[in-house]
Amino acid sequence: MGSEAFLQSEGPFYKSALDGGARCHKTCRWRAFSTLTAVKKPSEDLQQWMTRRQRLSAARQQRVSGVQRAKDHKRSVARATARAPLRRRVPSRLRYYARREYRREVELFFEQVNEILLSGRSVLIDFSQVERLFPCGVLILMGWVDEWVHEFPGLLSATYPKDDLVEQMLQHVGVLQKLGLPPRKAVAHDDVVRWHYFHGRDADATPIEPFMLELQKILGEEQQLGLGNCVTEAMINVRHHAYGGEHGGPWWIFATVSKGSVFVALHDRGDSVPGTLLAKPAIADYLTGRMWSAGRGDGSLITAAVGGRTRTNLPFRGKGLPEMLEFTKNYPASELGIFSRSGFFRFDGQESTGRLVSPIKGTLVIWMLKIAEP
Amino acid sequence: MTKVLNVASDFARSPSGRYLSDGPNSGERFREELLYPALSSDQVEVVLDGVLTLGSSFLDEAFGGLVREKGLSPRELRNKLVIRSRLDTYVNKIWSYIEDPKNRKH
Repeated sequence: MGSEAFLQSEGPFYKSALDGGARCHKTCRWRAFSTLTAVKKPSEDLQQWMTRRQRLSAARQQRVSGVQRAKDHKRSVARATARAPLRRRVPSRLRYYARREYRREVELFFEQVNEILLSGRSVLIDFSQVERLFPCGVLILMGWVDEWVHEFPGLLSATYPKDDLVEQMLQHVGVLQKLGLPPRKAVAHDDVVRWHYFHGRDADATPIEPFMLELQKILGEEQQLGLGNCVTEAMINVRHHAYGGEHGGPWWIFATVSKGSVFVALHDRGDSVPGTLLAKPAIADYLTGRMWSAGRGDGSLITAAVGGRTRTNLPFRGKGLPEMLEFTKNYPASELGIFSRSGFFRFDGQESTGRLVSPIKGTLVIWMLKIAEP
Repeated sequence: MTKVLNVASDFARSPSGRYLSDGPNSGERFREELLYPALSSDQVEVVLDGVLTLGSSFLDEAFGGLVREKGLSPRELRNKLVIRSRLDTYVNKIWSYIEDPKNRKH
């Protein structure tokens, strides 16, 4: 094998040949050739050609590794992006008991966050744009946050709100703490501390005593007792019907009393009012000939449970909601709203029902009473 | 001899719930631990004043349950039981639960 023939092989081998073959470790054939045969010095042209060839080869390797580096970079960016939480902004007005478009905005926010979490990605809940909180919206938020924190540990984080009042309220009810944000405000604003917040799992009314005592001072014993009984019966409804199990399930109450008005909001995430009604076999007679699929009759079923115009006289869902409706009717300009599954019932002097675009998990009761002080 | 049971001071300021599983201050617990044992006396006076809640589930289970679960007759209870409250509504409600015909089926 002549040196020229060999030199037509790959560049690195030629370089080894120029170095006297001592560094060759690829082939014994070259080692034998280099030690036994004197290497003829390559011509100037050949050397230049070989140099060009080597440069081209090096450039090609660099190009290949550059592409690889780019691929690696892209992959690491994708990995980092996947790990980074998706930011979802909380609507500026967190309001549920409201016109359809306001409610829809809040519903979409919760749906989006839930879908992201279900896909395994983490979420950053951005409170920075929240300007106003409404108890109905906060109760729904608290229900979702409790569920998410329990079902998707480590996937939720949040930013502090910019608004001082909003931050105090979210801290007051413990939402920020559940999302990993340490409390940093002194909760002192009147619009925050006047709200009583209760959370429990059974029908024990002991936690709501502070609210009852405040009510008694303003309303007197008789009205306070009547109102307190409605609230406790609603809690028993939740215990018996929404969560049928031995250990009950979570409920949340927001309540406040001011001159001439009382506000109570109660939320649970158990079985819905229409769902529990439809589970009762005897209700079949009542439903004969009607369309109840896909939640179309949920508003009417809630009306039946409340004992409204479609009263069935069947004690299917406890006394809490009917007592609330009766109590409401005694106080002009008062309101009762009940949202459950895909329907809602509303009494504001007149009864009305409707259908929700996005079903609510469990039940939300909003109770606003205009009461003349004694 | 008359035994006096003050619900607020002897039992709970916020009695609520029907069954023991509903919470610590349920009607069933009041009936089983205080009211029914007290009925071994000649007369029992139950004072309702001072409570903050007095829901119908609690009252029905505590007082209606005496007929339903313990087999006492409304007539017997009329002779032995005195209910005291500033609010007559609750006294009447309790007697309506005791005399509810549905209780006698059990």
